[in-house]
Amino acid sequence: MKELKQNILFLGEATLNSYAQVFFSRNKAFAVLLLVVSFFDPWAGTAGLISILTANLVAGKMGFSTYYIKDGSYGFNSLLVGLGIGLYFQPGLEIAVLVILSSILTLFICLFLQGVLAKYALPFLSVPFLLGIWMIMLASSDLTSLGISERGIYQANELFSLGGQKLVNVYHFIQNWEIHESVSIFLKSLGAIFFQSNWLAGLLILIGLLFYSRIAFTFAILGFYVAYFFYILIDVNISELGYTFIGFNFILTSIALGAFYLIPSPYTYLWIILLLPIVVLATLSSMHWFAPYRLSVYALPFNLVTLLFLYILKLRYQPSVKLQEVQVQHNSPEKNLYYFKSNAQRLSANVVADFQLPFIGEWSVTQAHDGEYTHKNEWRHAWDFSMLNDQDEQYKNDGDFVEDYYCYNRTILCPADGEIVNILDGIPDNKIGQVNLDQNWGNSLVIRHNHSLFSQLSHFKEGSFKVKKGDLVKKGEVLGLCGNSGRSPYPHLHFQFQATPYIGSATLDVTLPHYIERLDKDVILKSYAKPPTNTKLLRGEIHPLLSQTLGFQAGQKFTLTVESGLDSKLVILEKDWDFEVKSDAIGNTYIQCLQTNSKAFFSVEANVLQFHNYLGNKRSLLYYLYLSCYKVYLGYYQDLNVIAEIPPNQVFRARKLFLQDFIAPFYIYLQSNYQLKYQNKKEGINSEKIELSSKIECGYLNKREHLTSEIKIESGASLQIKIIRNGKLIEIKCGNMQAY
Amino acid sequence: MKKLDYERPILNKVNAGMPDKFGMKTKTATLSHIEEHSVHDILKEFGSPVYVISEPCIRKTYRTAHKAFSTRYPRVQFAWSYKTNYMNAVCKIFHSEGAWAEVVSGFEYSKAIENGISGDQIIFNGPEKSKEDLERAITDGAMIHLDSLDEFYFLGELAQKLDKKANVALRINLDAGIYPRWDRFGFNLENGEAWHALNRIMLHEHMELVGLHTHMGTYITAVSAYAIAAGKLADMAVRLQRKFNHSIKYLDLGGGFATKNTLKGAYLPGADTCPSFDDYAEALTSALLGSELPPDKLPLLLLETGRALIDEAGYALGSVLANKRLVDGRRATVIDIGVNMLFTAFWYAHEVMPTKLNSEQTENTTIYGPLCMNIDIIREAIQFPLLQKGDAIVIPRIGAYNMTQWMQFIKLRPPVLLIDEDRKIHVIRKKESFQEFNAQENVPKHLK
Repeated sequence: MKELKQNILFLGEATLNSYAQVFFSRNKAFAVLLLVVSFFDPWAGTAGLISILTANLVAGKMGFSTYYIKDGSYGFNSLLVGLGIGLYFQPGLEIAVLVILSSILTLFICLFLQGVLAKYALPFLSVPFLLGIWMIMLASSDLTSLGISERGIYQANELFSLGGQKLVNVYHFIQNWEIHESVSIFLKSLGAIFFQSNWLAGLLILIGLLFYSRIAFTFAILGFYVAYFFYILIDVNISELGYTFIGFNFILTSIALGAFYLIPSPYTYLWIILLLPIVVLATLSSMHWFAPYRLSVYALPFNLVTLLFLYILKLRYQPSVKLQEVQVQHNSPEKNLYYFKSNAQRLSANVVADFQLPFIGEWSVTQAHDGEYTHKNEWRHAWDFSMLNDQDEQYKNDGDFVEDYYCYNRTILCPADGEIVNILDGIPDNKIGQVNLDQNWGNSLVIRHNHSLFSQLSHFKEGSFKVKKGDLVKKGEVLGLCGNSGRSPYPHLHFQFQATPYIGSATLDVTLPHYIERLDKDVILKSYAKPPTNTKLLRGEIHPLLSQTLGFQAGQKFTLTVESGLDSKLVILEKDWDFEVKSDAIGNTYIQCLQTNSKAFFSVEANVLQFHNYLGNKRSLLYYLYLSCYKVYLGYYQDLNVIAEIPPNQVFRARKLFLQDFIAPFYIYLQSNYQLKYQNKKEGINSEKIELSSKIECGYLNKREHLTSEIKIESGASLQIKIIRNGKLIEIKCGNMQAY
Repeated sequence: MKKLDYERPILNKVNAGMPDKFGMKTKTATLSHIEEHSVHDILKEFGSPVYVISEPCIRKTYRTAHKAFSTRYPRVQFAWSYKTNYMNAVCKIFHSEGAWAEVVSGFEYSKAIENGISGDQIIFNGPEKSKEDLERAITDGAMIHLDSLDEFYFLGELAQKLDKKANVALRINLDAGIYPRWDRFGFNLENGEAWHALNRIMLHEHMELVGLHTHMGTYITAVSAYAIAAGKLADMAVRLQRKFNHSIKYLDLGGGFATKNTLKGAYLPGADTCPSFDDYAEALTSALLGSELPPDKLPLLLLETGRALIDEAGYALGSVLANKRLVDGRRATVIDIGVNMLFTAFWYAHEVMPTKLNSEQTENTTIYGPLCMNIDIIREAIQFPLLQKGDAIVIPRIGAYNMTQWMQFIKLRPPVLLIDEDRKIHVIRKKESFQEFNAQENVPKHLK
């Protein structure tokens, strides 16, 4: 019984998604609206529904991916074919059989194209629909006995059958409005996507589109009007747009390329203005190819140009940051954009993910990238590190001997896992002020971190290496001692990233994932940055308790209990919440709430827990864990300050976002700032207690507190979070985060 | 016109321009102010003799020591050695800087708890731990450092009775290449005793091995000893991991760092021979990092250094009682600071400083304390200027052990002052009074 219920729910979701997918959406409300629109012609609507059910059931029975079935990916092409057939033929049992068969055929084409195009990471769009509907239409001359429908020609008749005289009156009333021709064509074109030729359908779809995505909405209008004005410019008869299924090509291309498959930005707006005339040309020419067969081109220009453009983008030798393909598809232009903006740095950064500075304690950058002494030309992306005392001096006494320098003889640690691929030893330390230009790198070694990224550390003390060539080294292992060999007038450590394993290779411009910087008394966490000269850096040591409690690992399971403050407005009324840490096929790790199936994506790298994304129910306890621990440094430094920005769609309500969404590709004014402070630590040998407090402030100009939380971590990996939201207190607790 | 100070006549061999063996002329150093307060004013206000402790000096020394270690090893924790100086105010300064407590008796344990330290921040050392002490330590989760097998059995019984797991560390004595070897505390490593005990602890149901501890001695000037000891403890930790799959939480390298006080019989002054915290840290941490300990799971490095953290911050202030000439012709000066309040005079040749000099002339002098006891000698022989009765003198670097090993012998104990970071003076221990002292006694009825 339960299984049956699940199957029905599954099929229901797959069906609704199939409707929404026509506009790239998975929005249920939008889907229901589209379903209603499709039933403007009851028979066509029925045919469409039969098609979807057929496609999804067949795909399910044949054992295709339930993910894609649920997603509606297999259903929407069949839906369109079904709608087309339903509209073209008179109702009848034979036609129902025809609908089922064509639906199956379309499904097969879908699967075939998916298989072929997946290799190129391209979507199959509505190509299956095109092939399917053309096949039926070409055969239609033989199928005339089944009864060609005349519906779609006499609009008033249709409306009468739908809603009686009243609707016809309303229709005529509106028809008499002085609306511009272009608006009427625009709405009809939108309706035409569902084979509706009246603009009422178009209006409903437009409202649905607005509800689904503000960005897609603007692109729909932009795309259409660019094409419209291009028609006027080249002086082609526009009126034919009104009654052929052509106008929607411009709308769909614009949404697909401007908003959906690319991250919407000012540049996609410009590209749409450039591309749409091309779609118009493709439309005009393709209409001539098909004219002899008396076929409509349907969505051919849209498919052609979209696939063409998406494919060539992938062939770019140097992908520009200005035109970004969507890497993680959220099925919503806004979500894609907000996700991208908040993760851009991380995703585009050229880093060794699990990197830590190669020294212990606090060191200073004495020469950074493009330095004034030696970091020039090929070697400009390097750092020199040295140790300073409280008076910012590098040495004690007069500094005449290497031993006077604080960094001299200090242990140098391995910055990230790798293999020692090159090592040079045997060069004596210079006297202070002298340099050895013959062997200017001094005692050095090169570590291979991955196939194309190496790091070089130089100016070691002679004979101090604790590793040898070929050794596999782990982060934190001792490499040797800081010295003064090579081109080094005073003791320091030279550090650089490079692409080749030789000592003295050209440097690579690589950022550091996370590091701790001290500014007078403030300690702050910097991410994906390159420390400039005179920055005081701390290696940052992991705190076992923090890493045990918040360093989530795939496979881990834990239960959070709501101690007090259950409020149905904030959290679903449930006391115990189960979570599991999982990783997906491409290695992303996430915490899944087993009650609501919500997911919070995160990474733990270079001692930092950072959430990247939240998908699912915002009344799950996971949402509060996501917000309160959005970014946590897993070491303890008194008064450490961690700041981050949470994407607006995770914090603001739809109402507040509505305006923001429109201009989001240009400017994001709604900000939500996350701040975490390291308040207190009490340590004994068996019981430790760490207190952190985080808050999220959001708004435009005057920010207000959105959420505050006090995070208490005690030995035994026990986690306790007190969250205050809207003046209400929620207390959650987990006795042992490592229980499983 | 003010009458000039009287200067007594002395006879000195003319050695004008003769340098000492380092090429410099001997000059008596003076100390007129402590943390901006004049010694005279302090003595006037609080009487003579008196102890003075400088809070800024304590904090500065602690931070220097902590920095020396924490910039070389990722996880460092100091534990304040109570026996060195357990004035509550002093302990609290260390605790406020983040130090835990290392105690060696129930009395010190109570003091630590009173000073706001939680049980699991207490290292409980020492050969004597009573039943009550151990029970409290087990319940509080303190780190109990086992000193003998008998203690192991005793603790095991108590823990079993309480049905609790005691946090246990093993005190180990080892050969670190220095003399003397302290073998009276803990278990010997080289003869296998330590492993014998470790095996038993690991198998004990009511004991949890949390750390390994060694304390090689005191006033150790050879930094290499720490490198050897650290290396040996690290190897033991690695072996424990391999043998029992048990990672210990800390390695306690004890204390014993030297200070700038000169030991009696030392050839060179302490100020020249004493290694810096950096020197100790360098040797010790290099040995740990160079060991086979896994870099991502390094144990906490615990240090119980006492003397080196507090010695410099303490001063004894007193005044001259009398001048004498001994029968062999030597000059003697009697001061009101005796071995009753300067126990360390038994092993240090303490520096004794006047607050001002009236002339450059010095004389070979013996400095005696005020006690009516032959052993009360502060310095056997010192080139000392000609002071007069009532002149103030200062003995620096006496912060360690004197305020704990002091005696109520003949005299009552003097007050202890603390100069805080705002240079304000606080009395942190009152002068002992006759009434308080007498109140402890009980005279049987028949003698009243």
